[in-house]
Amino acid sequence: MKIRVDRDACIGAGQCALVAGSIFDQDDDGLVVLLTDTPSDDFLAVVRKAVSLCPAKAIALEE
Amino acid sequence: MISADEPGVVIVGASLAGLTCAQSLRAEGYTKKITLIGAEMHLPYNRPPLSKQVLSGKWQAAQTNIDSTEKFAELQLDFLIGEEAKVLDISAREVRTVNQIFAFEDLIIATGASVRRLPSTENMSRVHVLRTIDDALGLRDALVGIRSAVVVGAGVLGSEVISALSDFGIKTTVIDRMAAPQLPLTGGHFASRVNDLFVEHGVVTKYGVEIVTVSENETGITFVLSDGSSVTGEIAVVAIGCIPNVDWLANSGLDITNGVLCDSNGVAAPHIYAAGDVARWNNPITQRAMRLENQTSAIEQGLAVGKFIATGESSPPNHPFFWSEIYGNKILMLGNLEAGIPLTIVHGSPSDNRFVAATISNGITTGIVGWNMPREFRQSRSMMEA
Repeated sequence: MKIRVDRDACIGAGQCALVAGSIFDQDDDGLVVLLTDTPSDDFLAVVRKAVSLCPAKAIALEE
Repeated sequence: MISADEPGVVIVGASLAGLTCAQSLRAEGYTKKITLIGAEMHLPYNRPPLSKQVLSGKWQAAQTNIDSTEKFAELQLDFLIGEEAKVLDISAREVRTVNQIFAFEDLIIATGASVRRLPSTENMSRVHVLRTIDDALGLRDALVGIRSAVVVGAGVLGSEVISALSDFGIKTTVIDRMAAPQLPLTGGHFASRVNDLFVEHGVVTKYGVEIVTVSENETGITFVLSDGSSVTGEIAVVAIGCIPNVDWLANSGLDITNGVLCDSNGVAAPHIYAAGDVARWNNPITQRAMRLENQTSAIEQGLAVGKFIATGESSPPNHPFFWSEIYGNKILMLGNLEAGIPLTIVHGSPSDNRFVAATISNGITTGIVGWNMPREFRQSRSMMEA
């Protein structure tokens, strides 16, 4: 899978880092930082959850 | 393979909650038919950007779409738009629209909420509301070239609109029947902070007043208020909340007092579920049934209902969560701040305009707010998990 994040849309709610902390982090302003953009498929379920919970819809997932 | 032979799930309402239910059903392995019925003539879209990115002109309308057309197609839904549900007959297990009858095995009510209008202003061309994408685009167009506006309602939506109007250099007056601005779930703790932002940006505030009359002419709109004063603007934006869309359920036998009453799994009656703005779920954490009009609740409830129908498994309860951006301040709120308990500052400092604060009652953290401190807010969320 491949993940893209839109830092212009990100509002720093941190939902992604909460459910998938090994893939998403936040910078000092709270905006999303991708730790890896191609995680293994083991993470598919949590990444999907992060995508759906993101209140700003700033995460795109290509499976 | 999706089986089309059985009635499967019918979802009434094709906005965020309804679509999330469909996504969750498929993600959890549901293989029967899913019928999604929407009254609005749009693909499902996100509402939070309407008062933020769309109103400011930063985003085009299509950027609010929740799913690409391809992703949507992968769900293999029977999707009908422009169909408004009129009747629910639980004993016959069917939903009727004007034109059709839909039989269901399980029904999800996700009809959302409609904007509350100010009486006697429904047909006034200078009066705007902000609920749908069409509302947002209409308001954005109406802002071009104007210099003054009146906002009715100093809640979170009204405050976001006022903030956007200030960014456009529009002189704004705000009217509210309450004594101060009200952010939801914050127990009044942010009333003066939000009011200070208004005053700092030259917004004229009229609190604790009722509207006596409204009139419009070729130059503007005038509100006569209960304190004897009157305010005028070139347009008005009415942001006084929403009403759950439950009229079609009037004879269904369901409890629809301020939304469809559900247990903590979203069950309103056997095989009948509700999610999103229309639903009032019992929250086992607070032991109260609350109707929450925010995006995160719609998503969490949609995920939970889809999983429950597909697998029979319950999802853990969630605290209410919302975010806002007012005059560039990023506000994140989890749980309920209690009125009458002083805030405990967890990180930062209110005087620096960056802090995380909580209300703690008998050792239990009931709510956490982050003000321009998103990362520390997230780190503090564990306080709520005790």
